[in-house]
Amino acid sequence: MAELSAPTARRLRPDLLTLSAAGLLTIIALGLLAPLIAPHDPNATNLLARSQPPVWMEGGTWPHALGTDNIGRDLLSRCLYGIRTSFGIATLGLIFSAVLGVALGLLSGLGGAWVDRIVMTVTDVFITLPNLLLLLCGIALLGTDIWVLVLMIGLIRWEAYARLVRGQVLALRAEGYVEASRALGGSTTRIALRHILPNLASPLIVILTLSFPGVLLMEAGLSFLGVGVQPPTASLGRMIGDGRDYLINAWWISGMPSLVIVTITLLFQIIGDALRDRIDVLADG
Amino acid sequence: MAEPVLTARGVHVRFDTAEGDVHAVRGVDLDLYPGETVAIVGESGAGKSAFAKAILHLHQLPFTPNRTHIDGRIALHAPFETTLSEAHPEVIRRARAEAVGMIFQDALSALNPVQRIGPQIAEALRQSDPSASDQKVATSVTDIVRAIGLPDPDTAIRAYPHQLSGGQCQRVVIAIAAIRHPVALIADEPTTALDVTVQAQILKLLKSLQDVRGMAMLFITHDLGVVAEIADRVVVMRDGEVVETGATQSVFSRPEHPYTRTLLASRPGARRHPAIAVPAQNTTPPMIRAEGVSFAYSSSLFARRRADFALEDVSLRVDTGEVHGIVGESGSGKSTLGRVLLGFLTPQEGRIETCREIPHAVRGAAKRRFRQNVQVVYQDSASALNPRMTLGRAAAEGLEIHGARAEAARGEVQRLFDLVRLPAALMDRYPHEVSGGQRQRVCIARAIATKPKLLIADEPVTALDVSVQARILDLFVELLGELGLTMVFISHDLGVVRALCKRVSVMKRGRIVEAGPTERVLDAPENAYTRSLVASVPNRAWA
Amino acid sequence: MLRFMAIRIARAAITMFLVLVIAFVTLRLSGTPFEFMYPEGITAEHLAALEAKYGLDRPWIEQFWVYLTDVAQGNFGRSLYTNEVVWEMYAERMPYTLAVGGLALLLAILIGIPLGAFAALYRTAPGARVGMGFAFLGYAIPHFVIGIGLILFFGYYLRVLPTTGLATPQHYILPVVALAIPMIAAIARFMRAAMLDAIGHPHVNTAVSKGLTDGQVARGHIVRNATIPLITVLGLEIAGLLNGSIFVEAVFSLPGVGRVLVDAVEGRDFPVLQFGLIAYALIVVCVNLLIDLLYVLADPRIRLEG
Repeated sequence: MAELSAPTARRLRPDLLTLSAAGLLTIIALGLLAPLIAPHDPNATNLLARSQPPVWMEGGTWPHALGTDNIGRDLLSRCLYGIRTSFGIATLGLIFSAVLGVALGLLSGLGGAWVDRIVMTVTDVFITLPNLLLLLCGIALLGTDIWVLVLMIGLIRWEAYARLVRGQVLALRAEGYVEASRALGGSTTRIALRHILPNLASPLIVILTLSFPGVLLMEAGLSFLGVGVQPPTASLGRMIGDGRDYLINAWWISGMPSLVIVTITLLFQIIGDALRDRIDVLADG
Repeated sequence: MAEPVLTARGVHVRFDTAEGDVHAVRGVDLDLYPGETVAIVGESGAGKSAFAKAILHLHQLPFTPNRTHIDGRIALHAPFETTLSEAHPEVIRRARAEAVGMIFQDALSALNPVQRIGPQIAEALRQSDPSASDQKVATSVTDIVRAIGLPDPDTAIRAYPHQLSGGQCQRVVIAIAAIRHPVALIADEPTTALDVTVQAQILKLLKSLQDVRGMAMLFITHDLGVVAEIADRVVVMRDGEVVETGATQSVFSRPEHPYTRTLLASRPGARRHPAIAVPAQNTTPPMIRAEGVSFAYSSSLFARRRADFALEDVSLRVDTGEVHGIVGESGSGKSTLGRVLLGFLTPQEGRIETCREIPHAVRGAAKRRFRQNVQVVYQDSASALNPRMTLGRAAAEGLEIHGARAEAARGEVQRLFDLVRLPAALMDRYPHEVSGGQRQRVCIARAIATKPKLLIADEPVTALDVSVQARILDLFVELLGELGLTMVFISHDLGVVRALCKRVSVMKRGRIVEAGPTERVLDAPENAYTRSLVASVPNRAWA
Repeated sequence: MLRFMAIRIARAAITMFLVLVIAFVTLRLSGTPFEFMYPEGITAEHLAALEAKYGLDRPWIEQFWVYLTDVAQGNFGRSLYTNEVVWEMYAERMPYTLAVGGLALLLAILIGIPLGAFAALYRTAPGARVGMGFAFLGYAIPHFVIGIGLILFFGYYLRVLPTTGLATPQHYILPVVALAIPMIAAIARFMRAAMLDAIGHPHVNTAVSKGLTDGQVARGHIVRNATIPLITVLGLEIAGLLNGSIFVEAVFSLPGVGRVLVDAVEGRDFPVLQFGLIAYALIVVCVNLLIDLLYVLADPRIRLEG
């Protein structure tokens, strides 16, 4: 055939999803390998090389490829360690909130009318709570330990997952194949494992992907305000916040970590959107 | 004969889809004369809807990328005299506004959910007659709402679509199409989603509007009974082509094309299955015995009104080896009864015994036996199969639950696929890769895998094309004979029930209003509701 | 409709009650205020006497009641540091926060809805693609990064706009834009999705078959249907706006309540913090009730039920 049909052509084009996933994995790998590949100790100050611009600007040098901050710390190294910190907290927070949300959602969807009513009321109330303020209260009360951040982030972000899981469970329970399995004598466990969980997995993965940037930004935001991760631990948000006072003379102190954060959230957003489109296509036909 | 109002010559419709080019209509010719009704009949994928939509360019919706190519000549004649196929969009818009009205299948979603009925009808009139005064529009709207037979027209005008029933919504859609006095109406499966008694009323309404206003009507349907009831001429389509056309009476009595013959022969009414050998009755205990069963979906803990009862005082006896039909319209409680028989719902009152067990109370080993003995097949085969399981594994589910090992189960599934006439190659396919008829065969294979004694079939052929439907019904007959099954066959289709069932129970609003041998109940109904149900079936000779 | 609103009002009441409980618990768990008042230490007898004086030795439930009465009378205590009356600290600064937030909301609605609608109606137009591309960016970038970007570009590179404080009307431009951009993005994306949903609905077929022009179809049968679901997301977006204002105020050094809150967290100034919690909760709850009411009025399917 002289011309390719549309789907084949689409398959041959390197797609955005693959590229973004590759980019994201690279960033994660860089963060994980930070201790091995970072050119400098992230906390080592060098007063002789304060506020040095990145290498492509006048006055930049290769040893500090992304420049240095106001007390001469290497921005590349700090960014790498910052990725590590931010991803670590966000991942743990997300796992915690997802476990909580999925458990409550399953409880709501499978637990009968009264359990459902109670869980859903709690969820509805939670959605209108000012979550940033709760977070601030929690931090003021418990301190800024990393585990406090993980716990608090988990506690205020479970509601979306609970809703999704409950909705899916209720929808799946009405599916003919679930009832057919019951008619064949399938136990609740079998139905949950064979029929509900596999069909729950993809929407859950999509929503987790889409909500990861939110969790990451929550940590970054708190650190930016100075109430998150405490110095000297490198955190992307804290770096942006600390660089605020030097924007006029050394924009890169805030700029470099900002670029890193934006890249990460954009990649997640692209992947999440693409996954959602695929799942929708799957659901439609 | 007079001039036709609409002619089509060599019409082709192509769609660009993700899977490539689909050639839905391949050279259709049609003349529509004033005052006559032409039915286009065919199965899904025949291209009948695509052709109907092509007339008014309704494939091309605003703000949507155009993926449709229409070739050929479609023209309106006196008094409009335009060639629609080559016309400027504005001309097509005028034709929609003034010349031809369109009626859709799903009436509720054809109306704007957030706009009152009155303005939706008025809007149509304003397009055809922009100079009409508000006073005149209001009067015309009231008149047409009265003409379409909505109770209390003044309230109806101010109602929103969700406050009306499906039949009432379809009346409103008809009003929107007819208020402009078009020369022709195009009705695309207008009664398919409706209950048979409502369908009868809508057909009557269309007929009377047509008589009063002298409109021509192009009626798209898959239902041969409806065709026989309403159409002067019939056009039989298959795979985008017209295979036969002519006066309804002559095509139906002397079909020339083999496909038309198959189609006519597939009608459930045309089929009388040989009486299924029933083992000596009454000597064995009945398969189902229900007495005074009532069931309500408890919407509220406090107030359970009479209207909430989905089943009320239902008594039923199905003998071993019998094929028992349960017929009724939507909301009659027939599916609820099926679910009670399966033990999925616990009735609030009454005694019930399925396969010698109380279905909702059976426990332990008896429950395992019960689940092997009582099986079910549903209407929607797409939902009845897990999209993430291969067809082979789906069919094996019952075997696995009841302890078969994987290899043994696979061999057994192979045998079952053979039994339901499916190629073994399909075992490794997924549900979305096969047709609706094939999916339903897998569901049947899954149901008979555990060698059940009782099969509850809930509208198992409703979603299928008539020729596929006929083949599935044949399969049921074969299996019943071979496996000695008892079957409860739930359906809204009297023709199907008549073809398959020995005895029948008629349900209305949660009650069984009449029961007895199929021939007696359907040919000489005693109950008033059964009579109206039977009378509503369009042209019984051809249903 | 009455039933729907009754449920919503009950839910709002539960939310506020829960917030009060959280505020109270936070305040009490943080320790007695006397530790702050006597940093050099305090004898056990003196502490007991003080606790008795302020009622801190009574059962929690009783203390909670006293707390509720105080809150009801507008008595939220004083800052542990500045000894300012908490209520006044917020009253001074709240107008700035509300002004910036209100302007941002207005801007977001005025730009987001038309942008989303345009992008849905003219899917292939270059303008729509560029617009939605920006919306995609705006959705992924946090307020504080947008703020810093705006400062760098308009403040330091172009030198056309002031970047600190709210002294003149020009000072409002950058903070309002920074706060509005993520919300514009969210509204545009949601509006576009809702419009595409409405465009695909069968009633559009009917409208077309009536002979309506494309413009009439869009106005009467698409935009209107799409705005109804949009109302429901506005409530969530407004809560997001309040959160965002804390960051934007930090970036632009605005005299709003954001600084007060952050200082209170850093200094563990619980009386100040708990008032912030209650005030924000009250705003969010009221806005959501208002949105619910709007939604009910806009959607006949809910208005006419129950």
